[in-house]
Amino acid sequence: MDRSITYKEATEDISGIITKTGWRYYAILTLMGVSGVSFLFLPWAYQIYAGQGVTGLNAPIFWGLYLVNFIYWVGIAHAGTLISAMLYITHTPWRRAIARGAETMTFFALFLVTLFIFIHMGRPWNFYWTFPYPSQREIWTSFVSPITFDVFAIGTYTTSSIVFLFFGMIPDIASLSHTTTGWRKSLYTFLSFGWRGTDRQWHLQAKACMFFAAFIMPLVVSVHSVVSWDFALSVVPGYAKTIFAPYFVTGALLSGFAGVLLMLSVMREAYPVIKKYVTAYHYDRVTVFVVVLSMIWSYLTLMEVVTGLYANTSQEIEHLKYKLAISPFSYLFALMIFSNSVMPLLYIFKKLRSSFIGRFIIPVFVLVGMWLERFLIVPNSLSRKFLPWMWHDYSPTWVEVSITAGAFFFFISMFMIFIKVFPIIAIFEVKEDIGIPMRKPH
Amino acid sequence: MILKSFALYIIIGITGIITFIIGYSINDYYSTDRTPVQPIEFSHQIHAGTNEIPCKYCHIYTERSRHAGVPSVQRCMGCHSIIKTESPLIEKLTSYWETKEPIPWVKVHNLPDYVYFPHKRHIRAGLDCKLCHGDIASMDRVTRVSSLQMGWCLNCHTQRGVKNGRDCWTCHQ
Amino acid sequence: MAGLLARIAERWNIHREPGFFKKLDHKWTMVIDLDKCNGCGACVTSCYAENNLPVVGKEECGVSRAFSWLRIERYVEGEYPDVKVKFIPVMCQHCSKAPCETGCPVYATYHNQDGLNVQVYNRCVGTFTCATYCTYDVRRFNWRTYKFEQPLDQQLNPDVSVREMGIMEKCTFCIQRIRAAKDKAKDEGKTVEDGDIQTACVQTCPTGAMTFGDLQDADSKVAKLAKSPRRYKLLEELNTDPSVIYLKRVMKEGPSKHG
Repeated sequence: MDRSITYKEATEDISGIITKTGWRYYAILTLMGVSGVSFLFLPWAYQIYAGQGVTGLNAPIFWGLYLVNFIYWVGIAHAGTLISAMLYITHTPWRRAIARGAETMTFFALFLVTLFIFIHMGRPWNFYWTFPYPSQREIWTSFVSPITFDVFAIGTYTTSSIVFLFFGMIPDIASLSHTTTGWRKSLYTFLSFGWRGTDRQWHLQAKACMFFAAFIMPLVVSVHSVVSWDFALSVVPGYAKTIFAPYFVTGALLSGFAGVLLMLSVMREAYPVIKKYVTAYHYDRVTVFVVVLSMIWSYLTLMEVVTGLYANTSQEIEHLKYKLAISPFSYLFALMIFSNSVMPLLYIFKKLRSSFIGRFIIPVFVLVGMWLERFLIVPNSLSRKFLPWMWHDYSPTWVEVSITAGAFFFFISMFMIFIKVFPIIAIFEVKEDIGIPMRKPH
Repeated sequence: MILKSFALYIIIGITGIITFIIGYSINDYYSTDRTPVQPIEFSHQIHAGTNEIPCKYCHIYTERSRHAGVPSVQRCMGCHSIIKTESPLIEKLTSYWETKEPIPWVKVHNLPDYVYFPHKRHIRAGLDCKLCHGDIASMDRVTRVSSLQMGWCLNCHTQRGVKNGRDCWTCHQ
Repeated sequence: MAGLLARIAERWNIHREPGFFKKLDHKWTMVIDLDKCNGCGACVTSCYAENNLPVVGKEECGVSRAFSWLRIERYVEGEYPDVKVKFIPVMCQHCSKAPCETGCPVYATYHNQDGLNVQVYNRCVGTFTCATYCTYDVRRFNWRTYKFEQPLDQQLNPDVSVREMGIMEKCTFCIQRIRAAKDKAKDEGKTVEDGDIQTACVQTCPTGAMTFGDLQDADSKVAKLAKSPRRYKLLEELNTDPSVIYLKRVMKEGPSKHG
């Protein structure tokens, strides 16, 4: 990091993001908030009132866009965990400036994940039946069900992510409570839990963060494996693949890192002051991850197809035919390969890593491609199940499309509110970097 | 000060949650009217208590059907065309009889539609009516004494070792 | 606390007995002789009448939301006029190793002591997992609130609940008839005998292609039919171990005589 930045400057820069708000922010926030509510919640209310019949789901295709979005957002959440947990433990210096943003993404993505579980249920008002709790009815949940695994995995993940995010924020909140006034001051004073910055407190905070980082680390792998078992534990041709757990985890991290890249780029454009802290060096490091993950993902995609071919049952062949050879899914498959396997390879060129293409175009392609991957797995496999009489196609209705789009708007509006309340770059961690030269880019 | 207010918030939060749970369960338990007012103030105390009419004299289907059977107006009139005809309540009954309308009794022991409860099996197993319905003979207006919740059913099924008594489809349809 | 632990230990030991999970009161089985099936669809109609199935209309059927628990699949081989037509009635196969049962997080679908794969409607939360895992696509979902308008509500079967919006359902092997037969047998102090129970489709089938009975009873009709050399189970290679046994239709070479 630049040696010339002073501690004061860092504090002022980052708290400036919180306090200085222009009219454009309000305009975009209103737009996003209104679209989020009207595209996500109003159609959902309609769906709860009218039933799942308003979706495009039908007899063999019971899992549609909602499940696609569910997996997609779990995937987006993953990079935040990886950056905050794994890189925290390995003391990777470049994580400091981007970790808070990534963790925030994790948090809000998990919020949407929970939302999509409820949206896809037939009777969401009975969701609590999926928790094991003692009741007079003496019934329990089924612990062999992958859906129950999901309840625990997502529950653990959400709780620990919130705790980790909050623990990491306490010193920043305390320092903000000294510089702000009004409702912010009382909020920060309350949330700082009497943080005074004593040696002991710093020591305990670091210990707690280390503990939670270690606690979350297995979750990086386990949560998406569990989500993949929702599919892999069935016998449906496109689902029953032993390769699914690593495949999903890799895909999740790939989409998550693309999400982080896009988020950082947008933030840098919106608040140029961030350019001081998130530099070309950060892009350089994160894009390396994207390239590696993209290569692993490509290999696993190939293997997924090859295992299907190798099984050589008529069902597998029909499923692969439907996915690879029939329009429009063949085009979607081609687009998926192009955006997930080919586009990230551009990062091999060093100049592209922090260029406009590297910052915006490639992440968007990867995000779209990863969404397509989930789409090609979830409803598509169900279109060609075992008995040909029940083969049927799936086309989403406006309700599903609207809720899918609304989730993105809602995510953005929540993120925008967050950056006005909490520092999006960890102030104290950035300060730790000042004066310490990071490893120079080659 | 901060710590104090923090503790305060926690206390308020916990109290709120506990209140919610207690309130919810109480509401769950008592929300339905346990002693509804019937269209005719029929007294089980007079019929079953003082006059010692057996339950099965009026509720004739208990032993052979799912339903105990709310007695028909005809069954009432069987006696009351002779007994106590000038009482105002009996006149009300007679008016139903003359207009050929069923009496709109309010159901006290109302099970949801997805519950399959055969009276027949329970009576034939030798259970006393009082076990579930309480001491009806002493009630002027009938009160529901049992919760009729699933746990209450299961408790009895477990204690008596009913065969397949805990299988869902024994009671749900 | 000690009492609770003792109870848990007791339950645990019951389940640890060898063969516990194979011990069933009955093993209800249906045998369908495809040689006799002419694809008339009477079984489908009777199922609608017996089990309070809503008739959803043309548009919903067009998007594959037809409600029939039992469907007759038609497969045509060859080009007209040289065609072979095959019918196969498919309903819930009541698999002994059912994929759907592992999927449900709330035990809304489970295996009971009669060897039936049962669905508890009022426990279902609608996660669709069972239907997705089902290899025969026999599960049906209540996409909307289906109303039975006057006077159709008068023909509803009082022994079967009318399902509400948002839950999964499927063929029950007419469990209400099994229950009624058991009830009658208990009154008479007997056990259920072969032929006491007929599911709606079995009762209706004009050619007698379907037979229903207890496979554990060695003298029952189904047990005898199940020894037929023509027997097969649907998608047997998936090892779901269905309770529905099909008897293969033996066809001559050349065009089919059926219309």
